Amino acid sequence: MTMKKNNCLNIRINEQEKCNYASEARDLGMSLSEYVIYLLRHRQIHVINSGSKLAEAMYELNTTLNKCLTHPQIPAQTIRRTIAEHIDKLNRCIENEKSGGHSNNVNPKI
Amino acid sequence: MSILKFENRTPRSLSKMYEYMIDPQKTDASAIFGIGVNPNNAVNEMQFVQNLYRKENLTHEYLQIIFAFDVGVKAEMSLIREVCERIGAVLVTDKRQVFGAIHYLGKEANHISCHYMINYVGIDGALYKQKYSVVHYKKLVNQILNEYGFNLIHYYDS
Repeated sequence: MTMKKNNCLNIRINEQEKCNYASEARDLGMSLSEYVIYLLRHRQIHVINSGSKLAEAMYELNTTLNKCLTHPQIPAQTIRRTIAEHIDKLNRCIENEKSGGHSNNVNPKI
Repeated sequence: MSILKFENRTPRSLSKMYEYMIDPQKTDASAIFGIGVNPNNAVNEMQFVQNLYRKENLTHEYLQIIFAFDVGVKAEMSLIREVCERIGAVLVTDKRQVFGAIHYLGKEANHISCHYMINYVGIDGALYKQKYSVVHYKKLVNQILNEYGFNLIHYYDS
């Protein structure tokens, strides 16, 4: 059950630091608060470069495959199974990293 | 009269909701679909997007919307699915994964409904925002229903 967020944490930093952290957060698609909280919880962030492009590619591929499901020469289900296997591996790597485990299979830069 | 309902509560987790939606007593493989997502791997792919953007402890992992045809509607599954997919497409205003399951077997046979599970985290990392009023969405859905000759959704438009 999610606990109510009714506490504040005020931190003093200079303007340049704030700009830098805000920029890093933006690059990761996070708000400044999310970024700081994530770092406090996990001590590190492994960056999947072009992660947003990967998400977009997965979305577009699924959209295209929907149109090809009945095409006799396009193995849409096979393609989907292959994607599913890799997404599953990535998810397990990410979950493992979040829980503090180490995985030799993690490539932080994809 | 058809019904469109936005369900605010999400007591089930993403995976439990998916299990409910694909219950073989209610639906089968011909009646599930995905918009931007593999319907057979929807949970993994939605969680992947949530993980990519490091969205943790989400109050809601997904949004549930239910569309129900009028009682007693009988039609080919291909037509029902086509309508439901088009409705699913108008329910989101950005690139966001949508999993749909049409419940039409067993007890649902006389009152076909489509359950939509929409990832709360969009492909660009943005959290879901209901951009328009429910009445607006009902009007869009009615345009689709009208094309196919199905009974429309009633609504009060002030």
